[in-house]
Amino acid sequence: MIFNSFIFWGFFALVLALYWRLPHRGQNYLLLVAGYIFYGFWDWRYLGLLAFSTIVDFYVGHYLVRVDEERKRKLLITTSVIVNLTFLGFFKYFGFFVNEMAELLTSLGFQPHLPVLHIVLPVGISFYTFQSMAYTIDIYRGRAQPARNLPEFATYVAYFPPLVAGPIERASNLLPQIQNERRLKQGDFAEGLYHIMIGLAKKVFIADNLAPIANRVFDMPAGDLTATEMLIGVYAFAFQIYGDFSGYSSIAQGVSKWLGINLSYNFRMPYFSRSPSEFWQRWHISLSQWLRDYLYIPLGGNRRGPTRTHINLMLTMLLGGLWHGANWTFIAWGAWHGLLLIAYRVMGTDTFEKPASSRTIAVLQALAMFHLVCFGWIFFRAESIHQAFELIGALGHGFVLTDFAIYAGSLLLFFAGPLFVYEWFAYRRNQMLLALSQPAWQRVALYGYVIAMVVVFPPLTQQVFIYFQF
Amino acid sequence: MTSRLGALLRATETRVVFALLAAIALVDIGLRLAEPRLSGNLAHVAEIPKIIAAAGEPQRHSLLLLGNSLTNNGVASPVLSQALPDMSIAKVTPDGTGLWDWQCLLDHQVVERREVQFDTVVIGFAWHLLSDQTRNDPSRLGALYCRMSDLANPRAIGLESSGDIGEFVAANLLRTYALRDTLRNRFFQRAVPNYVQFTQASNAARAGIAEHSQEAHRAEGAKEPEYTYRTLAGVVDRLKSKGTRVIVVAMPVQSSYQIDPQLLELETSRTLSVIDLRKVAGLDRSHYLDEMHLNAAGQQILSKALAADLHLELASAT
Repeated sequence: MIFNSFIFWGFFALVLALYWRLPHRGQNYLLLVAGYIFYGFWDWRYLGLLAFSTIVDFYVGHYLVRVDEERKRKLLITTSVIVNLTFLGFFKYFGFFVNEMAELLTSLGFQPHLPVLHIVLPVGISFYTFQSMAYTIDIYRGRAQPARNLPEFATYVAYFPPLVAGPIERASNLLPQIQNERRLKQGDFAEGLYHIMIGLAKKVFIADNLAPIANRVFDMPAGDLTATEMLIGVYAFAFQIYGDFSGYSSIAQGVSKWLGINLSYNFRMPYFSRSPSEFWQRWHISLSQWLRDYLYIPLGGNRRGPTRTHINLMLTMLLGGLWHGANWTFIAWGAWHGLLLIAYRVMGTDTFEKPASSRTIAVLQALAMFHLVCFGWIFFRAESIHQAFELIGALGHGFVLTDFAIYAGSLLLFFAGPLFVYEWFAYRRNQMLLALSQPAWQRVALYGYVIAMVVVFPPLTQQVFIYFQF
Repeated sequence: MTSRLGALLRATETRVVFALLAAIALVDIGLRLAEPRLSGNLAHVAEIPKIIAAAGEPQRHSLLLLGNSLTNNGVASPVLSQALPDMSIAKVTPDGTGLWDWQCLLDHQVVERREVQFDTVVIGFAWHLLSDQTRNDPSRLGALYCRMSDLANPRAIGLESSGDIGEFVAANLLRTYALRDTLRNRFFQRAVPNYVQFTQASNAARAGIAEHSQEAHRAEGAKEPEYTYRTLAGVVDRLKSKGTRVIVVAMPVQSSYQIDPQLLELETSRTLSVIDLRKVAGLDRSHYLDEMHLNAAGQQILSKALAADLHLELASAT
């Protein structure tokens, strides 16, 4: 059940119609049932996984505040982390490590017979295990209170809008909203509508229509590509993945708003960032913050001198890359961002944290950062490291305006251009909800445009959300 | 509870939502008015009720020639009229259609209309186009050929999933959605350089991949799906109950294909007749515009062959 499907909107209309007729407790039970239906729609066999992870983490949280002995508390938190990481490791990384091990052993002259599992990755496993783990770690650290009962916690874990592709909501934000009575305030409907409209436009109109261009370029032999075509392919993928992922987050936010729940922002116009550190404060914010709080800072953060800071940054980004999937391309992508963070740090963070001395400098810095991010996307999108380097090599093939470049470039402009311009205004004014502060007729025009584009220009083939696989 | 609902309504951006709904309604009305001018095919679809009513007057002997672009390019009605001078002939051949579209079209335009009576319905097909396994287009069904009342039994009109039903309903209610492919293509043809060239190339590549995967499937020894003809049999029964007989014509295309034995079984049970025109004397590669569509010369050859076969078939029936 994906947000850009008729079945989801039928399902949500039914949930919404019941939801506001129920008392608070009934609403929570409805959200819990809805969450399991939503998740079970993908593959009901993995509902047990979700339930097991929920039960383990609930009881770990429950006992963490009731046990004083530090040794037992450590045992509890270790149990939670091990259970969650075992699930993640088994479903996501087992095959990868077995393959790598087999290759290594073969290269050493052995004939390994390692087990091969053909298992489907449970959708959204990286999101809900990280969310669940953050809950127990926060309780362990004394930064959060446990849920009062199992259904309450199960509702928090299985809350359906962010369940399969985030944002990874901390207990400190989402759990109190589950626990307390919810009301729809003046302006909530408008805000929800705005998020849903923008999200649908990003996903259906932009991401899914740019996918064929990016696919075509990344599927072509690198030797046949000109630099212009390669550049257009990378730009197309940059806007595809941004539209896809931020579109999902936006719809999740809008849907939640109509349920009286505030989700955190997962994206804040990241392609206008002037430095890697700013980029990670604007791109997949909930994962960046998770990695910062539960990995980078425990590793020592920037408190142990420059060398250790650089090592910590690199380790964090490598694991951030690996979080996306068991593939060397994701690890390389993480390493690239680690290098960028270190390089900018060496150059001096002040230059990029303070406002630029002129608008031109700011634009040039943002332009440079955008291209560095795009370079990283080549690794992220490529099938292998070898292909990534071949594609990078294509950037040296000369900037020729071929028929395909003109065709793909025109489509790229048509699909991504309007969003880019709108977000530029929103960025300049620092308003995430820019249209809501404008006169009603401007919203009518914006939403009218979005509806027309979504209805008349849907993708030729429906695409699932990229981040569902992570 | 009431206060919550009240809050929900108060929180609504009433003006924005109503303005949007009004805009959508206006665009929809505009499109419905302008629809026949958007493409030749849409103009033909809009004319279908009139074409059928004009030819299918109960007082006259009449024949309805139904099909898609294969039949449209392949058969010239004047040639049939010459060979069957007592017959009033209607040619209805909307592009891209297949069994599911034809079923709705025949039910709503022929079976259910009292003022319409055809002696014979001739349906041109190729491959498995008349089987239950043929692909449908829920948008096209919802917008052009079926009615909302058909949703009472979605499977009977080929709708398998909730997505299909959603698409059917959306296309039935919203013309902008129903005509999105036409609008999209018209816009891009004008606004995007090389659009036709690359779209055709990518369509051909997609078709090639599909064919390749089918071949690989066959090479792996996978069984061909079993084709069934229950829907067609139902249509034939309904037409029969109105006194209309059905003849299906296997049309020629450049590649060869088999007529499914299950379809031939229907002929054996005397439910319908099959005319096999896959190979016609005098037709060769030079008579094709592409892999499947005949040119004007090919149309003349095939039409004469069909007229001769129809003449025999109709004579034997009487």
